[in-house]
Amino acid sequence: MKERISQKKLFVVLFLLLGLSVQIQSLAQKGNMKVRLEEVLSIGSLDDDALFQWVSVKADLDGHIYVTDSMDYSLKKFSSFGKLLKKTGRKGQGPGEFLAPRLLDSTKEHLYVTDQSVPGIQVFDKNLDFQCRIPIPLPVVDFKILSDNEFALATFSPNEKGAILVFDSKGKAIRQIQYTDNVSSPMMDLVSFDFDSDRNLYIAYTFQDKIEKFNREGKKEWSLSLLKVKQQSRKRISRFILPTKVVYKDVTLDNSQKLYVLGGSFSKKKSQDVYVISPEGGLLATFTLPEPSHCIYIDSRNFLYSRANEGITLKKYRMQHVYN
Amino acid sequence: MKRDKSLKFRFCLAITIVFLLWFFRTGLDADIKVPKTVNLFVREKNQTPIPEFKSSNKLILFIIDFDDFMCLSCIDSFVNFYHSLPFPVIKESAWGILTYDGTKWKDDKPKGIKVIEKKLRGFVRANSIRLPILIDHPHVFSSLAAKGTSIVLLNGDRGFLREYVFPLNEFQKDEIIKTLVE
Amino acid sequence: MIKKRKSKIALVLAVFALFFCLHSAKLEAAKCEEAFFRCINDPFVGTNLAGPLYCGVGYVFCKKYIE
Repeated sequence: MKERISQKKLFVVLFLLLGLSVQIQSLAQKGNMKVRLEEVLSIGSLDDDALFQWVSVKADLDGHIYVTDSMDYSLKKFSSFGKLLKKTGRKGQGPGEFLAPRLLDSTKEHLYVTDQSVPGIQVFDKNLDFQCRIPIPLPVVDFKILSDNEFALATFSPNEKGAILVFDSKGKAIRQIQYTDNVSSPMMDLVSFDFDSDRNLYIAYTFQDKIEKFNREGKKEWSLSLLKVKQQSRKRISRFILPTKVVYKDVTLDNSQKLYVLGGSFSKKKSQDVYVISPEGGLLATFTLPEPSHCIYIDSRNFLYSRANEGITLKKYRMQHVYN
Repeated sequence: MKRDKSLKFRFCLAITIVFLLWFFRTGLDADIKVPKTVNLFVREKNQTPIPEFKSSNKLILFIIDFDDFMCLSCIDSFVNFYHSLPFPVIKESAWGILTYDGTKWKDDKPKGIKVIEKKLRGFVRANSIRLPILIDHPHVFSSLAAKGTSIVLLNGDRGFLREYVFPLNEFQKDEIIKTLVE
Repeated sequence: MIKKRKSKIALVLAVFALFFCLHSAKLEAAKCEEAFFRCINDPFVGTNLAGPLYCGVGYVFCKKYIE
């Protein structure tokens, strides 16, 4: 009888210890910082015609907001108050036309827009006037402007190791930053990426649970696996075998070089959880967007932009970092 | 006796699981089959003639799947084909039905309807579509859109219905236009 | 006896429910796969060597946007 009671006590103590260790672990995983979002601007509503299916967003130093809209084949410019200032583009493959406008990036003077169906990158000025097209023979999965003369892009590389390719303003490949050591399925090596001001590269794999940092010399500094994804589901379609669940959807950096990674299907709140990571590779915080989004973007003033209403609305938030 | 009963139960459960696996057999590695042109209805010779329609005896119904707004090649094929149709056909004999997945906005249906209406508005305007398009809120045509955006061609003269799924090949395009203009 | 029967019925119902849930989740995700299939079988895309690559980009975009 006495033995039974002491066994029970032992069991209870062990159970409590286990529960406590899990709590401590989860706290460590969540980080010691909280991020609160305060909505400051909403562009596009269910009743107006400002945005139909926006894809990519960029803000300039004057607070103007530029957006690609795939539904009406356009590039749009909004004021810092959300008023539509100008719209350009129509369906087509000619200069200033789009079949499927997608990614957008900018320098001080120019905007750069990719098209899913048309090779190349179109260049516009800040008045949305077409300037030129940079010929790129590869499909673009993600891209970033590094300077007026250089841009980097992620693409499919069948039978080659995963690499970020760097091009000059004429579309000539000048170097590459290799991020995988082996040749594997091109889909599995797809990444979203960003560069910080020191040209350190941060990548988040689209179909693998990996977030990595490479220094400007191309050496890997750290690699993270936040979601403990053990297996990716795949589907055979004709002669291709495709992964079916997105792990990480997008990455962006804030002005203090913290990395924000938008989770996909394996996150607790799918397409809403955002992981905040320090430059040293530590998880600082996890916060949740109010609605699922396909991308996140942080401008130079640390405002965060994400999607709402299935792409009809663009939301801008002020981020408040609260340290425990 | 008890053992026998327990074995019987386990056996039934195993059969049920196998049946369910077979029923949902389009598993992770299964190929997606190409949807074929389907003859939905062909009149037999000895059946009574169909009463005459008031206007044209032909009707082309575009069944547009809302999710195809994300699929360029599917929706592009529809837009290109629409613009290749003779204007009288578009004016007199063509309708559009926009179908959507009713479970998607089950928590907020009014919002879902507004999202659909807005996206349709943008799509129609950007592609200069002058077709009357109705949104299939009662989900009457959902089964037709199960394979994606498609055409249902009704020919009262010859007495048949045919379904074609986008993207169309050249043969299918010629066949549809020939049926409409003859 | 009744308890045993109830637990057996509950187990069978749970198995059914599991299969139905799995199937509906699979149906929703299949839209992008279907779109990819139709893209690579599009006669215009099929003649282009880089066609499947552009279909792949479309697939990734669809997955990110819809899911």
